[in-house]
Amino acid sequence: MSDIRQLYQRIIIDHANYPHHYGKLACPDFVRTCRNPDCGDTITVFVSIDTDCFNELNFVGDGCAISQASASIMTDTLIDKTVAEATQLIQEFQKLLLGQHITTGDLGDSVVFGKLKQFPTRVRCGALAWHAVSDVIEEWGKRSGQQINFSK
Amino acid sequence: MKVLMTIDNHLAYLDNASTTPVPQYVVDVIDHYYHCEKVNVHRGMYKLANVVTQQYEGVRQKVAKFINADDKNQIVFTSGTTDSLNMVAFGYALSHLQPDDEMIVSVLEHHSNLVPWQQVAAKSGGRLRIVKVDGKGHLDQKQLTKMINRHTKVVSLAMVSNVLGTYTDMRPIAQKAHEIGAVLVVDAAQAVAHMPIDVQKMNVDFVAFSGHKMFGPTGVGVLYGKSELLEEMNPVRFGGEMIDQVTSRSATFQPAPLKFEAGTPNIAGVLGLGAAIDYINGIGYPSIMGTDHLLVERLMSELNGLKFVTIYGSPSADDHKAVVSFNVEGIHAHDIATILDSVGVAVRAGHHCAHPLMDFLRTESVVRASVSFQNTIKEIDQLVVGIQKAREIFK
Ligand SMILES: Cc1ncc(COP(=O)(O)O)c(C=O)c1O
Repeated sequence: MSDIRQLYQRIIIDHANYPHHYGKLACPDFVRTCRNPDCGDTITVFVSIDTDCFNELNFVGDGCAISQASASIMTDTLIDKTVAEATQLIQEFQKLLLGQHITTGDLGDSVVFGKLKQFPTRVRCGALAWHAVSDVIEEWGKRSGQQINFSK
Repeated sequence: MKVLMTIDNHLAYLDNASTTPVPQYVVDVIDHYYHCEKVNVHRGMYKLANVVTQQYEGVRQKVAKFINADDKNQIVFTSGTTDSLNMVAFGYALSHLQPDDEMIVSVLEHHSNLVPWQQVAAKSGGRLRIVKVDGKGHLDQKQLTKMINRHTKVVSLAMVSNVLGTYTDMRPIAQKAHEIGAVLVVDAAQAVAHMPIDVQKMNVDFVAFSGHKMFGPTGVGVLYGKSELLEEMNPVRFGGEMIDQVTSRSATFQPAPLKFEAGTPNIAGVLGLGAAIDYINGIGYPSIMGTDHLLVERLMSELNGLKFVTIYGSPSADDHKAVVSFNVEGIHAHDIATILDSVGVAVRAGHHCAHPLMDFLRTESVVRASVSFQNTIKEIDQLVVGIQKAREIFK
């Protein structure tokens, strides 16, 4: 049995208890809510993209420590990144959850979720906020006439 | 000693309300059918077909006796509680409801005793009304009495709540429903493994339950109906086995229960259900209820002693029929369940297919521990250890 503290590392607990960039944005360019129908966890992301840069990224949500901490750490990871960089990071994060080798070191603290693969029932909790942002990027692509698709 | 072989014995399995383990005896009966007797029922001319048909029909008789139905033809084999309730909704209620007619369910129903009635309401122009529960999780009898009126055609209620564990006495409700000509449907899914069901004493009209929640296999269940109601009720599935005479343009149907059992039934499942009934009868409800109560009492007294734990429903162990739902302050139910898993305790966390009840309790999800008489005090204590560990981690 995997040690449960591999999953609930200090940094995850801290982000769950004191999330970063929590709360609605007044005038976001994009708002997207994702929900896990099985467990009821929800994450809503509020995004301002200036030209092609993630200027602001906030979230609100309800759910387990994993889903909320993942959202909080994700905001730290993605703010100030370009859409292209964020797109790459999302793909890296997806690989991380699948237990695949990742190349960039830019995922920052989000790499702690690499342990999730040992807890298969919780993988989708960690993925929820990232799904929401990938939807936002697809929408941004549509608005700016580019085709961006994430494999989900 | 544990006789339930099908779940890892090192796991403190406290998710019996989801599905119970099965004893080896039930597995053996199913195994025997598949290994030695796998023929169809109600059709073959050879001896073995007759033997298996007799066994299959023997289980019908056994179920009738088990719930004290006076006629085996009041027992319909279904795929489970959900299937049984859908049959009543679409085979009976839909053809009996006029616009302006009403149906009543409670706020604590499992989605399977809510969504079918919503659909019937939408299709018939009838109205679905929801009766509340009080702070202890008991049905608000006053509100229910007011709600039942001459427009009421169906009242459908859980005998035991799968979230709060509260039990509802159906007798007075049946009487009120019958006074105005409504039928009372009972969802006994959570009751059947924990208390005897006596359809005549309750005088209810339909009863639904699942084999897999009573130490039997998945994919089999029961619908009991009073004879005259089953006669009025329409089949919702059509095909072989349920017909009487067929021309190329029309068909007449068998009488109940066969008219509700179109196609080859879940023969192995039905035989396994029969074995599960033998198993329960062998242990006996008095013994089952005694053990259930001891376990719940221990669980409640432990949880009541933890200031940071909120128990939903009644504070009294007597009001929890094998089910206790709770939350731990500051820690989400899923995190509790994951941490409990890490100490070898299986519980369920989530909305438990009861969204309206979650709204009513003002929460998104709860942790649910549900026992069967096979659990031990040690396993309950293990759960408490796990909760302490979760507090430690989240400090
Ligand atoms: C009270 C109640 N009703 C109905 C059901 C549905 O039973 P099944 O899934 O076996 O059809 C359940 C199962 O969880 C239940 O607890």
